[in-house]
Amino acid sequence: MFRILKKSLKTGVVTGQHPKADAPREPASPEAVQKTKPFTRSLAIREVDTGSCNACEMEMNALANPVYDVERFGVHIAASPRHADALVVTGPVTVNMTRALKDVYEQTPDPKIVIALGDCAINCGMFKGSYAVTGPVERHVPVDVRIPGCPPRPAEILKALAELREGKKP
Amino acid sequence: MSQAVLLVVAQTMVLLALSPFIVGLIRKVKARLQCRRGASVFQPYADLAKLFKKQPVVSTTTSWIFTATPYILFASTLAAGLLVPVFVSQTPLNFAGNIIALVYLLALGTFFLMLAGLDAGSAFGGMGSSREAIVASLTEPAAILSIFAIALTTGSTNLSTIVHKTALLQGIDTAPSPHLMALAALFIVTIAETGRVPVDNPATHLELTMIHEAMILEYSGRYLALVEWASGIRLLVFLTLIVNVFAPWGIATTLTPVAFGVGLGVYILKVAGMAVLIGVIESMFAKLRLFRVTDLLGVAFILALLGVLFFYILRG
Amino acid sequence: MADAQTAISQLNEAFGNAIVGVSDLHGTPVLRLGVKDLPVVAHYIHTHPGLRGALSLLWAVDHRPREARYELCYLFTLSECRDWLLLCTDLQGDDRLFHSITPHIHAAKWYEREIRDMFGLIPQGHPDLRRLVRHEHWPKGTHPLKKDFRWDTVLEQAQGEYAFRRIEGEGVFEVPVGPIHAGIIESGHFRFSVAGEPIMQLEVHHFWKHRGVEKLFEQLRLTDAVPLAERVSGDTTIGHSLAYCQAVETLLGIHVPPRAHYLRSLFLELERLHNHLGDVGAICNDTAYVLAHAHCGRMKERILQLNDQLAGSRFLRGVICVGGVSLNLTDHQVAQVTAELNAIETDFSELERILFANASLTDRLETTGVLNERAAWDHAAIGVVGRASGMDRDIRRDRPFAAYEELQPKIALYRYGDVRARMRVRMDEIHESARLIRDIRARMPQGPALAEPSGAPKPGEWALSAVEGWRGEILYMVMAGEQGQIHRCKVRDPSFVNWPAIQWAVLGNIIPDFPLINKSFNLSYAGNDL
Repeated sequence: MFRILKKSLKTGVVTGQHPKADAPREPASPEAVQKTKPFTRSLAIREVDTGSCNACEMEMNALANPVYDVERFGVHIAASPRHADALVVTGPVTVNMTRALKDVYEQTPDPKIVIALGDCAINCGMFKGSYAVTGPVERHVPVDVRIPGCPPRPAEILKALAELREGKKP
Repeated sequence: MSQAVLLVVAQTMVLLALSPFIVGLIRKVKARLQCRRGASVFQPYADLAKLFKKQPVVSTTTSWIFTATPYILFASTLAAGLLVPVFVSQTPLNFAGNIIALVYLLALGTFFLMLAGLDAGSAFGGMGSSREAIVASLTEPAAILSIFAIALTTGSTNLSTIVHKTALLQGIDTAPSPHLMALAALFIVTIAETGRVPVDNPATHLELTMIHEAMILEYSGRYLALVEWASGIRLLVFLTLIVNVFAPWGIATTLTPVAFGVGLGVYILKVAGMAVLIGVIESMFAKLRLFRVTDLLGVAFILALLGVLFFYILRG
Repeated sequence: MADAQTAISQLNEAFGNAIVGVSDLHGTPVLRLGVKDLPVVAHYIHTHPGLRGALSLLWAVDHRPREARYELCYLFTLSECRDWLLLCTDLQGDDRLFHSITPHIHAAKWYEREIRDMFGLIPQGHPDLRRLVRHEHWPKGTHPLKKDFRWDTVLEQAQGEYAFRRIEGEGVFEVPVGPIHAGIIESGHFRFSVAGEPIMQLEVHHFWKHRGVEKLFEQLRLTDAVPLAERVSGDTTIGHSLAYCQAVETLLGIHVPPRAHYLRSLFLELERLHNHLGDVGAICNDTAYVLAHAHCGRMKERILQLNDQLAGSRFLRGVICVGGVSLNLTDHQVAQVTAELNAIETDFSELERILFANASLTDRLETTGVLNERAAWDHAAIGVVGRASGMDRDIRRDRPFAAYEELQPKIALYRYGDVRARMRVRMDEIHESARLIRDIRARMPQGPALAEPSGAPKPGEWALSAVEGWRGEILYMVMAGEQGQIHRCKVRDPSFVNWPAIQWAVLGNIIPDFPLINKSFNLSYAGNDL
């Protein structure tokens, strides 16, 4: 029972032990920064997978691990679209997920921002043109931020989010 | 008279202002034990501020219950908080209610929340409401009995009287065993009523496992802010109940500014200590399987019952 | 102990007149049968005590425009000797009906529905002819893998509702979950019928993420398709790309240098390690034991950063290529890898002891989500899920590829089939992978790590390849077309086989335990949906 506490105390805080990321290739637009103003201190994210290969999801999951610890920036994962401020969309929008993406966009209350994560969400990657893909994401819902990469590293995602919030850190 | 009003206002302010801090402190403790820095302890304030500014989205299939519940929940929880001595042992509202009133004011909030969970017609809301009903119906007797055990030692069910007498060490003529049993029972009830591990996981995203969170999945904007704040106040009320009924020393028994200051300071320290304890306990255990929660609450009830029995047995 | 040759003679005796032809495909015997006779022979192979063939793969090929026929191939793995046996049959011209083997071999159910959706060939006698891959809004008559269907067609919208199996009755509720889930997880739909909390029925409805991968393969050349294989299932980059490259190397007749074999095993084991570490943590997270998840996440992150350091990609993308590996690690780098893994293994062992000692965690994991051995056999469950339910199959031992002939991995096997068994399999495999990597370091020969791709296969030649990915057995069938193009690439991730099994594992459990059971399976949605 107590051994796990001892292990944690022995290991100490590992946040930040990762290689620094380069500056984002697609800097945040002024409109996106303006839209994010209500959320600089508290952002609830809902992740929408419209057909990704799962690598982007794994990197997003890595954001919650002790090394990247996205919670320290006031970012947390929302359990319901009604609690969400930002939709992080991954994957080229497949023909089966198009309806679901539009629905979740409608269910999320305003103001909200949409982040397209990964090359597939931005330009369908290597699935471009496939009969089963109707993407990219901006064809169906307005996109405010693009984070390119296949998949983008968690440090890059953090950097993009920080730039979006104008570098505000607690 | 005006001093009484001031005290009530002050107690309300303390409850409102301190509850997000306690929630943030528990999260911080858990984060540190997870080897990460975690959000600032003041993060819940930022969350609430943001939620109040967001536009609520209300499903068209809901009734007046859905929009009224956040207000009812908030008001009843705050009212329950006003019945509990926070930093002054003689609360001005002590005439208005005793422990029965406290437990049932909290239950009123829970009742409406359960209805709201069912109102939206979603599957998860319904499941959350039914599970909350199981938990609430079992914590009620345990909570009442455990406070009865203390009431017996001090001779009154009025919370102010209980706290005042215990703080002044008046009329404590029995061994501490009823107190210990009742404390253990009340602690388990606190964990269950505030939806903490091992009964429920407040930080989970798995809707199928949620109890409390499932009922609020449909809320957004200011409704969600009120519901979240009310949960924070509820947690604070339970912690206050524990620290002030079982270890009230330091609370202001006289109405002087110095006593207020000391009372407030000691109170914050005690409640913060409990929050740290809860954070540590949440990190040590896995969540109980749903039908084992009833076993745990059964244990709480038995402990409380034993507390009452011990009082009579030891009194001779 | 019947091996493939004995099996052939047995089948010849029993069904001599039904067998049209016997041939060989890179060491696997191929029996050609008539469409009507195939189900009987398949049933015999599946149930006969000496053979007990499990269905490993069932696929169709549209041979047009070269030949006007569809070919159906059934790959069986014989249980005792673990050899492969192929049954093939043809549908000539406009013939679209074939006989379903699902009534006798349950493992075929999704394969046949998939063939019906993608090719328009109808399995007669199949108990469940609802659409699988195509959702109800796809127009009737759309069969994407037919050669006359263009890969970049824009689909129109039709109307329709998927007919879920319903349970009617007082107190029975239908709970739909998904496709978008609340956490950071892929999209898929689960429809429960619950009586309060206990689950009466679960129906899995996936293929929301179908991207048309197999059709996209057909637009590429044999040597260019590795990046696509890497992205079939993003967390199984090495598994899929290795399986694909092995198939192509067999077709092109390329001999991969020994050092490349060892390096491929090294990368595969690294992938197995980081995924299993993440899984162990995630299983604990779903019981709200978050500290274990935090520690496992920390360890997984160390391996991903190690990958990034070695290959410039956290998932080792771009490392496997046709002919070997593009990243020839220096001995110093390999020593670095083993040093890091030793530290992680010690860290993990400490956590493992803590997990086994935690009673509240064990109470959640034991007896939850039992997939008994019979159900696992009927589904032909493979990989981690199979090994936790007594299905003793691991391609690294049964059909050694890369360097596994020399490495001799120990296979973890548990019989109970609950969540704890699946977690134990993963924990044991973590230790085994660390040991294998140390062994690789000791045995790896010097030399080149890449052979030049050469050779041109004749159109119509094909090869099978199997790799034990971290979830289980990955199968690829690659058929060459004109001028080095791919004519058909059949991709089978182990998740396609194991998803139906979860419908059986949840019976008798309460619905709050479902996320735990699902996480203990941890199947790929993208690998399943293609």
